Amino acid sequence: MNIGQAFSMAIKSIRNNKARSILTMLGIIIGVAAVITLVTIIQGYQKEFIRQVSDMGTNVVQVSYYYDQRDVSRGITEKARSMPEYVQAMTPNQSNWYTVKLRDKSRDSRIIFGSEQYDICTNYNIEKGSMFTYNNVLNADRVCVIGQALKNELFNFENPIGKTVHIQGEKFRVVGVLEEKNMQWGDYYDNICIVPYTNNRLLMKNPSVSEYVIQAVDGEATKAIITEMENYFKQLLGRDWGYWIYSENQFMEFYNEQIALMSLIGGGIAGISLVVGGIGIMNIMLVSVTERTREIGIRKSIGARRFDIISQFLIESGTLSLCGGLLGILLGALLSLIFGRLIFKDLVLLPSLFIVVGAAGFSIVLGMFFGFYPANRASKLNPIDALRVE
Amino acid sequence: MPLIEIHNLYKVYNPGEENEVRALAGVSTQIERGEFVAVLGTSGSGKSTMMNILGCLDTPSHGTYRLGGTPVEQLSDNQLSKIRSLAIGFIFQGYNLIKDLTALENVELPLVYRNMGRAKRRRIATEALQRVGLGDRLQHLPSEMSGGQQQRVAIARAISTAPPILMADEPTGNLDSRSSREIMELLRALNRQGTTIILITHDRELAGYAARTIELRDGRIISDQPTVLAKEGAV
Repeated sequence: MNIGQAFSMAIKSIRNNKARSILTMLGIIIGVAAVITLVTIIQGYQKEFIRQVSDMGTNVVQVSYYYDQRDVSRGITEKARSMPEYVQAMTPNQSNWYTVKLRDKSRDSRIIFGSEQYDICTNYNIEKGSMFTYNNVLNADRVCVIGQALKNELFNFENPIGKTVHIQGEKFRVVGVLEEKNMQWGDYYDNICIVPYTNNRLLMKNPSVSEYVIQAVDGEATKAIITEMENYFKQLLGRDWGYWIYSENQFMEFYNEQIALMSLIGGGIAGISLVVGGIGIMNIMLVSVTERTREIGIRKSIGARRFDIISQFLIESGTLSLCGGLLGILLGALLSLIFGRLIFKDLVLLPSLFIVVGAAGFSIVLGMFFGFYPANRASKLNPIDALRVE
Repeated sequence: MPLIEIHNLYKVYNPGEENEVRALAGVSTQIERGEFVAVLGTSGSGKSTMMNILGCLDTPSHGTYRLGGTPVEQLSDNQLSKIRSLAIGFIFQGYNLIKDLTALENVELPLVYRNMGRAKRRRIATEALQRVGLGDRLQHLPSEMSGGQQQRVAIARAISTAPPILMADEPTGNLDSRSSREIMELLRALNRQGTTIILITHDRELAGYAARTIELRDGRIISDQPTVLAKEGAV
């Protein structure tokens, strides 16, 4: 059977019964729109979540040591540096609140004891100047990198690079300024001052550095790092407590499972309306076959085989369903936009290409699946009986 | 070898039941290539059943039917479709055009089922419509044409595949006498060009267009002879 011919017949028959065709499509339209909207909104939540998490940095392993007051920074640093295939960067992440002063201005800020890789590990960008260097860390130089909030408070429009601020009465030279993080929690992430962690004894009464952040090269590497660090601590302490190792990836995995489950349930519920829509198509195709019994008889008498009749009606039901699917995609995209606008602040929510193509393909399959019974029935009609029908 | 050869053909509806009907009760005949045969009979004589079986739309209850030497009585649905597609053209009393298709598309349809390419079938269908005098009605829908024109479209459709056999079942039953004459002249012209024509009719006068008349009554052949006109050499 010539597909083009069957397709143009299908379009003709849909156009000749406009009202009926649209009513039949309605089931598919609503079903497809529901599935698309639901899945897109769920994906929106996922995107929003990933965005928030990745502001903190992705593929990051956090390590805490709380067994005793020992200074384990050297050991942990060496351990991390010993596996460059997994570790991209690592830094201590100890912080304490101190007052930072410049002349007559001052602000209580979070002083962070970090390494020269602190910006990499916690996803900061340098706006001006640079991070301090490895040598600064080795020499416990009194240098610092300040966040936007602190810079604005102390320096206003002045260039802070090379200026000296006072922390706990000690002089620190500013070598860099960080870009603004602009997170939801006020200026917590911008009111900071990073100093080489080797200044811990100078500034802190309790000098031990117990918090660390390790930036892994990728998601898989975080798992390897967690295992390696656990082994390290077990060996160091001879027991499996006294430390804490955690990665957002673990939570992300859990969260993704939840999202997948939600998609499945939501999609399944919306999918039921698709089945109902499919039954509508089956119903109308049965009517169509009955109405066109004579046409089927004519076609068979002039040489149509059963396969020709089946394919004609399958193409017709597939086309009908595809039309419904395409309208459903449009409606679903519109609803996604509207709901996305209502739920998320600044996320333009549109169905992904994968969903659009999938929905269109699925509509065709659905139409053909539910069209098969009527089509098969049509093909089995006896040409003589079919021709006798008025 | 005769083109059509039937032997002791039976068609029984509802066999063994109270309302058993013997539409054909032992019909045997032969039809040669190029003949113009009228099958004459009143309603209920079995002539439509005979045409259905000869046209491969139906299979006999028993008896044999050889079409061009091939036994067709036991063929499957698909095989019968293939024979209809290749060997037989139908002309029905009610024209049986598909109402949503234009004249051209209706005539193209048998060619579509032969998997012919679009350009070629368009050309052949146009030629067929020109042969029946409808070259200027290609894009008309059946509802936009008179009965005579619709029947000519049906004839164009039947001859578009150049089948060796044309089956005409009361082709003029719905037409006025002028259109009827035109249709019958068209059939006669086709027969002269070599097409075997089997005309099913209840009308003795129409049967006069054929060279041979087979008369059926109660499912049996009661006479089979050359038509009077033919005897006089008028056909």
